[in-house]
Formats: sequence, structure tokens, C-alpha cells
Amino acid sequence: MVDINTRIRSGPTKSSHSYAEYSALVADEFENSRQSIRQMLVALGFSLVDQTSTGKGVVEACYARKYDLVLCDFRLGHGKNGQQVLEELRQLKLLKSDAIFIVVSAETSRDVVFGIMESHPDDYLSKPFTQGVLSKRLERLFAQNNALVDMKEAQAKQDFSRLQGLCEHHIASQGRYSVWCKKALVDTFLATQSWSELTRLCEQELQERDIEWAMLGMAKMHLLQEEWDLAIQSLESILKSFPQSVESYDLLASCLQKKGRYHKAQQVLEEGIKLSPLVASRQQNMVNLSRENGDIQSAVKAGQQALKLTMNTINESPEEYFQVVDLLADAAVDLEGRDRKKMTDDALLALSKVSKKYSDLHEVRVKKALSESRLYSAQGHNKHAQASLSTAQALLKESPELKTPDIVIELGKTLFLAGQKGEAIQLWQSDNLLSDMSAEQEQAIFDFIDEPIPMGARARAKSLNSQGLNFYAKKDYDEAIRVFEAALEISPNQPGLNLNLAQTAIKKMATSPNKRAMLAKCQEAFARISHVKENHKQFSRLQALKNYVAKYHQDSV
Amino acid sequence: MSSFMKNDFHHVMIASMNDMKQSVNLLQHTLEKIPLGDTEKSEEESDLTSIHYEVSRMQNSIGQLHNLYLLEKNQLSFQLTDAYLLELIEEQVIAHDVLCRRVGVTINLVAKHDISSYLDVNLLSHVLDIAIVNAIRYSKDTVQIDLQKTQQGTSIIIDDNGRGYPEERLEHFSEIIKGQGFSGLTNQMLAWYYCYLVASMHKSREQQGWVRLSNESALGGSRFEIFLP
Repeated sequence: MVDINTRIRSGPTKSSHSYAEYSALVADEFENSRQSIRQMLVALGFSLVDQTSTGKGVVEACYARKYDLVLCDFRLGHGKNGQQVLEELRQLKLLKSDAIFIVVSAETSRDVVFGIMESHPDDYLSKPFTQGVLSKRLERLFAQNNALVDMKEAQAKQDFSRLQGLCEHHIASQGRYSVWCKKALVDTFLATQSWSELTRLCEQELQERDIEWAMLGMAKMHLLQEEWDLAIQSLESILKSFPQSVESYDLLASCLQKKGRYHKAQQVLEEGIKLSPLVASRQQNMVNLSRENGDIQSAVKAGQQALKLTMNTINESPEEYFQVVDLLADAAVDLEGRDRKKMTDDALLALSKVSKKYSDLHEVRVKKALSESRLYSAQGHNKHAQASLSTAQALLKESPELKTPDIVIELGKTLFLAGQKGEAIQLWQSDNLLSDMSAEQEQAIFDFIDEPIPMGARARAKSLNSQGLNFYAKKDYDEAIRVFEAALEISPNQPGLNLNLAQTAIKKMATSPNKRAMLAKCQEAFARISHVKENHKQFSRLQALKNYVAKYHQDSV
Repeated sequence: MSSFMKNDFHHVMIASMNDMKQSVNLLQHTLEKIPLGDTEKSEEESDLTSIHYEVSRMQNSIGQLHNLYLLEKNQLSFQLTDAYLLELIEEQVIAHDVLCRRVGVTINLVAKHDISSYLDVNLLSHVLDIAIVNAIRYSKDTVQIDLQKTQQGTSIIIDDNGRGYPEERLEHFSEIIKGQGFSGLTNQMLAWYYCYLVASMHKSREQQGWVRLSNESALGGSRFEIFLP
């Protein structure tokens, strides 16, 4: 029997736990709030209670002292918010393993609540709260910490067999933290690929009702086993029962991506972002997906959000600024008048910010000049583009050690867009670069040469290409040729597109009275993709079509 | 209203509500610190009691308005987690301990066992807060809270020993949950409706949560019952 009345009536201001040895930190933007929480902690017996009003203050204080308790408000003025502070403290390992971090917030808006939940603090305390409530909460959290101390240690050391033993024992003895243990077991079984144990545990939990974490456990298993269809099915059913399961949207989007269903994946991720937009990695995934789909407006929006969310945190990097500038440059091309000017101005502003912020980094100065040149090229401001390019080249001459594969790729792209195509190719081929490059970097160059046009144009060419494929499938070769040629006007060097045209022309040759014209189309298409060499993924298809055309030519002669 | 305000009224609402919350919190904190008077109530003391009661009510009203607004905008967060009900109830009782002592009401928890349930902690705590403040207001001197576990789910029952709900109030509530009778809506009725909405957001397969008001209190007054599947 729970003797709860005595516990409550024993007086909320006194706690059964002694905090005499404990230190705490209170972070709140408002002095009044800060003071009142501080007073509560002092009354509860904390020997030391520090306070600060900013996120930066929290990080600095945690460098100086390892606190037992941090009570941090979500809103902390203009710098980092509580969620970012927690992520940063974890990354910097500034929290003791048994420290308790509580995010305090008066806000119940979903983006904030989700952002906080997704950073997994030890607890979330919504304002207002009284000293009695705080006291109970702390008592409970420290008791939980005590009960789970061995499990948490095993978890941190990834000692899965010990963790499993401890959790199973706790569950068998009907311990108070059985749910925590079951969730830890799900993660353990996923990490050790113990599929039958995982299935047994989750199915047992799901007998009576739908439970999000158990359903997610099953979905993650399918995902790890690369059973995309099963994973998609399970995630869709989670979202039916739990429409606010933000993790399910992320996982579903990645499964759909694996299946090549990029548009659907983007829609799903958009739902996730609507629920919980304050997570930088989710916004970055959105940038990548919308890029894939040629949705430049979404890419810009997500890129700007990702930048905003990492700004003033340790994860802020100049790369995010450059990403935004490149996206804005691509987006501006599709716009006119005031909108175009706004995008261009935003891009220039981001460039000026990044160069001011990282003024001591040579590399950033070079990248800034290159990025600026590309921005001007996209606008057709050739003189400005050339001036920025020359600045970058001069900087590189001064410090040749900066010629890393990344920078050389960028330099080549910039040269290319400034109309110096030959120089770009020569640079990429001559610099003994290929040996230093990773497969991804090499692919990035191929992709660029294949289609050195803005994202919006790429998307239009892609859409025409799929129309052409439809006509091809219906054996309407004349229409297919017409549409492929229209696409090639937008993106003349795209290998897939050129090969589709050639293949259609070959089909048409069989029935066409004008075989010569069709042969000419093939030869022109091959000429446009002379950059496709052995290491290109379209090389074997090109060879096969070339052989066919050569044979046909011979036969007809 | 300028077009800026129209387009961004969401931010206006959120900023105002957060500010109201902040200031009511401070008021409440100040009230908690004022020492309780002797058993004999001075005029000042009884003024303080009504201020304290009104501040608690205001706190709930602001929270309720905020959440209803977010619900309307389809932006209310709803996250189910496993939680122990006695823990939640205990917190609410503690939160109102000073108020209880001021008005001379004792809250008894008669549940024998704690029950773990799958629920949205923030929303359910808020509902309990509303129901408990109301029970404190209308009870003579005792409020009793019980938990009942059935096959379908869990009920939390809050009884008081006041005069019970007037019949017409019970009728009005049953009309409102049928989606009728919104005219002449009082804030009190809105609060019950809000509790009902929160309960009904909790679903499990075919089951759905509900709120029932009645005069079946074990103490002879009114009863508030919330069921979660």
C-alpha cells in the first residue's frame, strides 16, 4: 500500500532527500524567475546554487564546475536556447554521468515542446511550479538515478549483455522503472541484432494496446534488415495511431528515399518538420531531399533554418553559410524583380556574415570569394564574377596549402560557371587530384559536369525527361524525341538524357525513311557527352549504344 | 489592424500568453511565501485566500485558453508516455497545498496502488489541476481522490463534500459534449469541456477517453471522473 497522504502531508517544503552536498545551476532570462527558483533550491538544502541568464553562461559555468543539477529555461535571450545548451553540454561532455538536466519552459507550443523532448533532457518542467512540486520532482529524479545507476553505466559502456541482465532482472521483480528497462532492451536488441528477442518483447507489449516505442522498435528492426516495404508499412501504421510520432516521419522519409520515392519522401519529411522544426539535422535532411527533387524554394527555406538552428552553437560551421549562398544563387535565377533582388541580397549578407565571423580563417576567405563569384555568374554579372574569382586565385597563390580537394572542386566549378570550362576540366585533371579524392568527391565533379545548371532548370529537364520516357514506353517515338530534345535545350550535357534520345532515335530508325537524320541525332548526342569516360556510371550504356549505332552504320553501308 | 499584425497574430497570442503566465507565476510564488495566519481568520487573511484562489484559477484559465488556441490551430503537442498516476496526482496536490491550508481543505488520496498509464503528462496534469482547484473551491472541507483500474483502462475520481453540481449545470455539460449548447458558455463550463477534449484525445484502438460530472461523490458532494483507455 502506498502511504501517499503521510508523504504529502509531511510537508512539501521539506524533502526526504538531503542535498547538502549538491550543487545546482539555474539559467533563466528573467531575474525574477531566476531568483525565485534559486530561493527554492536553497530552501531545499542545496549547498551551492549558481545562476546565469544566457546559454553561453551555462556552458561557461559547466566548464568551471560539474553540477549535480541544472535547471535551464528554454528561452535564453538571443543566443542558444535550452535545447541547444543541452546538446552542446553533451557534445562537450561537460555533464557528469549522474547529473540531472531539467529544461524549464512556460511555452506549450508544439515546436518548442518537441524540440525539448527530442533533446532528451532528464525531465521537462513546465512553468509555473511551486517549491513543493520541484521538491517532489527532484526527489523522484534522484531516486530514479539511483535505481538505474548500474544500467546507465552499462549503457554508456555499451556493455549490452550486462545491461540486458540488469534490465530483465528489474522487469522480473516488477520494478518501478520497468518501462525504462523495456525501452533500453529494445535499443539493446537493435544494437545486437537480436531479432527474435526484440520481436517477442515488442509483440508482448503490443498485445493490449498500441504503444509508440514498441511499434517503433519493430519498424527499426525492418529498417536495419533493409526490408523497406515492411518498414514503410509499420511506420505508416504507427502514424495512424500516433500522428505526432516525429521519429516515424524521419524514418519513413528515409525508407521512401531508399525506394527511390523522393517526392513522397519529401512530403513525409515536411510533415515531420511541421511538427518539430527546431532540429537542425531534420532541416538538413530536407535540404538534401528537396535538392534531389529540384525543389529549390524548399531547399532554400530548410537551408536557412538549418543555419539559424546551428548559429551560435558549437555545430555552426562556415559550410552552412556557403550552402545557403549556393541555394539562394540557384533560387534567384528563377525569379525576377524584387524577389530576385531579395534572394541575391540575402546571399550577399550571408557572405558578409561568414567572412566577418571567420575572418581569421584563410580557407573561408577563399571559399567566400569563390562563392561570391558563382553568385555573380548566376546573375550574369561577369565582371564582378571575374573579380571575385581573381581574388580567390590570388589567395590560393599566396597559400598553396589551401588547395585541398574540396577547394579545387569549388574552384573548378567557379571557373566553369565563369565561362572558363576548359580551365576547369584541365584543373580537375591536371592537379594529381583524382588520387587524393574520395569516391564522393569524384562523383560530385561528374554530377556537376553532367549538369552545370541551376537546380530549378535541372528539375525542369528532369520532368521533361520523364515525359519523354512515357512517350517511349507508349512507342510514340516522334513525341519522345521532341520532348527529349526540349529537355536537352535546358541541360545539353546530361548523359542519361542524351542516351535516352539516342536510344529512341535507334528505335525510330527501324521504321523511319530518313535513317540518316536519326543516325545524326545519335552522333550529336554522343558528342555532347564526350566527358563520359570509363569511370562514369553511364559509360557502359554509352558504349553499348555506340556499338549498336556503329554496327547499324556498317550494315547499312 | 495592420496587415503585419493580421498575418502574425499567432506570435502576438503566444507572446501575450507567455507574459501572462510569467506574471501569474510570480504572483503565485509570492503568495506561497506569505506565512499562513492563525486558525482565526482576519479580514486580511480571507482576502488573501480569495486572491490565492483567483490566482490559481487564472493560471488554469490562461493555460486552458493557450491550449485551446493551439488545438484550434492544430498545433497542440500531444505525446503519449508511460507515467505513474499517483505521481501526477501527488504533484497537483502538493502544488495546491498552501491554497488548501489557507481555505482549510484536506485532500485525501484513497488509492491503494499506483497505476502506470499511457498518457500525455502535460495535458493530463493540467486537467487534474483544473478539477482539483474546482473541488477545493466547492468542497466544505474534504476532497478525496481515487484511482480505479478496469480491463478497458483507468479512471481518476475526484470527489468533494460540497453541495454538488446544480442539475442544470450537469445537463448543460451533457449537451456540450454532444456538440450542442455552446451559447451562454461560462468559463467554468468551458473548463469542463476542455477536460473532456483532452480525455477524448486519449485513444487506444476502439477505446476513447471521457470525462463525467455527477453528484455521485462518495463524500456526498460532486464528482469529477476522467477515464483513460
